Amino acid sequence: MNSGEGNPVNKRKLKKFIHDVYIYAVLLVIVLVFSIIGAANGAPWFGRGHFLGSASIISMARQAAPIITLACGFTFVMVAGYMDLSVGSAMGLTQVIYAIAVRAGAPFIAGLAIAVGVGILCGIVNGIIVAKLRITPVIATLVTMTVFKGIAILLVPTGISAIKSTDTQKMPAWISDYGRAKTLFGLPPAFYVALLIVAVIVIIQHKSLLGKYAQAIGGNRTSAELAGINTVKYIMLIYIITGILAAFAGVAQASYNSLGNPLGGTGFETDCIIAVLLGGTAFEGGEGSAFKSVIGAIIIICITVGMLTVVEAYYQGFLKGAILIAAVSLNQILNREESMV
Amino acid sequence: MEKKKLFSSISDESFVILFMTVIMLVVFGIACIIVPNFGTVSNIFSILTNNWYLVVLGIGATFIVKTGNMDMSLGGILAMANVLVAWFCQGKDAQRPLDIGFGMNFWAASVLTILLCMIIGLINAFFIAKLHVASLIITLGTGFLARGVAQIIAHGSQRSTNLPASFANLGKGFIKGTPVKYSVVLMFLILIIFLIIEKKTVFGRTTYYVGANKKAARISGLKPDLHLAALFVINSVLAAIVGIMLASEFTAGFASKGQGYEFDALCVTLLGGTSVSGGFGSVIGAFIGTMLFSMVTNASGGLLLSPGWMYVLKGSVTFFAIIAQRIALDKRRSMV
Repeated sequence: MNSGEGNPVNKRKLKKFIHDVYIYAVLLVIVLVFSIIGAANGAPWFGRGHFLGSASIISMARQAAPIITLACGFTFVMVAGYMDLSVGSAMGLTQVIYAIAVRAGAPFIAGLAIAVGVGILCGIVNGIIVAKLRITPVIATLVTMTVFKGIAILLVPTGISAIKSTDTQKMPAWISDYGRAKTLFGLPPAFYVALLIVAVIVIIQHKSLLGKYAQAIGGNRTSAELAGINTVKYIMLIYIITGILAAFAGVAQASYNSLGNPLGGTGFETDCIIAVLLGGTAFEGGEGSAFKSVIGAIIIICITVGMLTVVEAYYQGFLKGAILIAAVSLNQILNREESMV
Repeated sequence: MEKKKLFSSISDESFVILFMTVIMLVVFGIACIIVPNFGTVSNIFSILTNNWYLVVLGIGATFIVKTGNMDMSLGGILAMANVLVAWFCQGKDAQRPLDIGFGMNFWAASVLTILLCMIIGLINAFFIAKLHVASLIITLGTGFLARGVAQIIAHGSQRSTNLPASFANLGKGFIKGTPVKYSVVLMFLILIIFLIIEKKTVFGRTTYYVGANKKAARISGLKPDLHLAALFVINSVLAAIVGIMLASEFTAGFASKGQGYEFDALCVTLLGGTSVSGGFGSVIGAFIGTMLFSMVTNASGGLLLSPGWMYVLKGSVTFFAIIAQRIALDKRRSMV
């Protein structure tokens, strides 16, 4: 620290270093805190009932699949300086359609394909409204959020809250396998699929034009356009990717709960924003890392699961707000001076 | 020629409000024909008065949206006020923890609640005006925070027991001899006050300047940040007042009250012709927008549509309103 004082180059290096590693430190601290609380409550380290016990980790991995999937793709949206508040609703819509298809006898792959198709459709709708009609992203996706939610609710027969087994139509027993089955290390397939998606997205971000162009658009859409980038096409693509990921997240959640809940994705848009902000992406766009957003998502899951061992469930809302505000403050502190330089 | 001159002499703002009023009347006409019992006097009265809270929230939202910002914490603040005021008024002696309150006088409790809700507004103001954080993000956070307070105090459900009988006086009360509720009077009062502020005071004009061009406003010697801060605090007070009135009306404080109201408030603001990019709009528009909004919900209720349709309708109406306004404005500009 001392060597950095008064030397702007060193200071900037230090700042960059903090910017690069702080999220891992935050994750470490949170895991440590809950581990110590667990140990203080009498659970043996890494044993039964402990935060880092195998049961706890498996349960977290099961719940983490949807948010991990969504958060990494959401980075593109925010790096490009856009917003998608409809991801939660799209997730609800896709899982309802997946549940209907599966209950009607479709195999897993077909159900997933239909859900992804619907996700792509959601993405195209968002993309057209935002990129082509140039309606402010927040407003546009607020509109599609309500519309998707409405359609999802319409697909569920009146009187019941979700697509589930009825007397006439049974949900197949294998539906929960994807989200709950114990495969390698006892973790469910959905978690491995989520990791695969993260790998693909990280590669896209670093190796493809999309990653670079998203950054360019986030920096300044007009100059990106003048530089010859087809912004409409790339913004569409970003929304379509988000739609596809919403479908994967929806299927994972439907499988975890064994039902298609039209409101299942409620609040996921906020979780995504928190995860991406925690990952250090500036709200104004321009720069960000998909991998760090995933770490942000894991932090959220750790806190939600960990807090349940300490306080009642109704503290969750307050906590989420506090984390979001903390993430915003942290983000602000870390990104601020850089933009001033 | 004469007509064209008259047409161009009104401002864009009046033009859009006029435009939305015409749309409202058209919707009203169509609904009268296709929806049974829509045109009855009692139904029209309920359209005018049932959504008083939305008008009040819409007025606050209009001022915020005019500056190019938005406030997603409205619903949370409303729930916080809703639960807090009930908590303060609950009697002191009871067995269950959810029944025990502070036994305060309703008016004292209301003032305290408003002050506490102003803290949320101040947090918003600090982050937006001082740190220049995007208003969407920070108000999402404070919205969760405020609703979280409500959930913690109401243990995730509600506080509805052990309340004094006088608690319901304000919310359930009518003006003597008329079917007009106090809350409706409050709505008109707030509407008039804010209309005067908007059109006749320096404060109101500053809102437009800040929305149209913040930098220019600063260079002209205005204090846009301070102004924004004031607007967010005012907005939290409006949400708190609505929360208190609703608590009194239902004699209960619900932690889940006002879910999605921030979106509804934004909806009526946009329906009223306020531009999302700022610098443009009026509280009269918020009133017209709310009327249009309640006509749509009332009509879909009259047609016995499922709640799913309600969402689809709300979304589509807002979308088409934005598009229609833009087309109408473009047409007008190309004509003038």
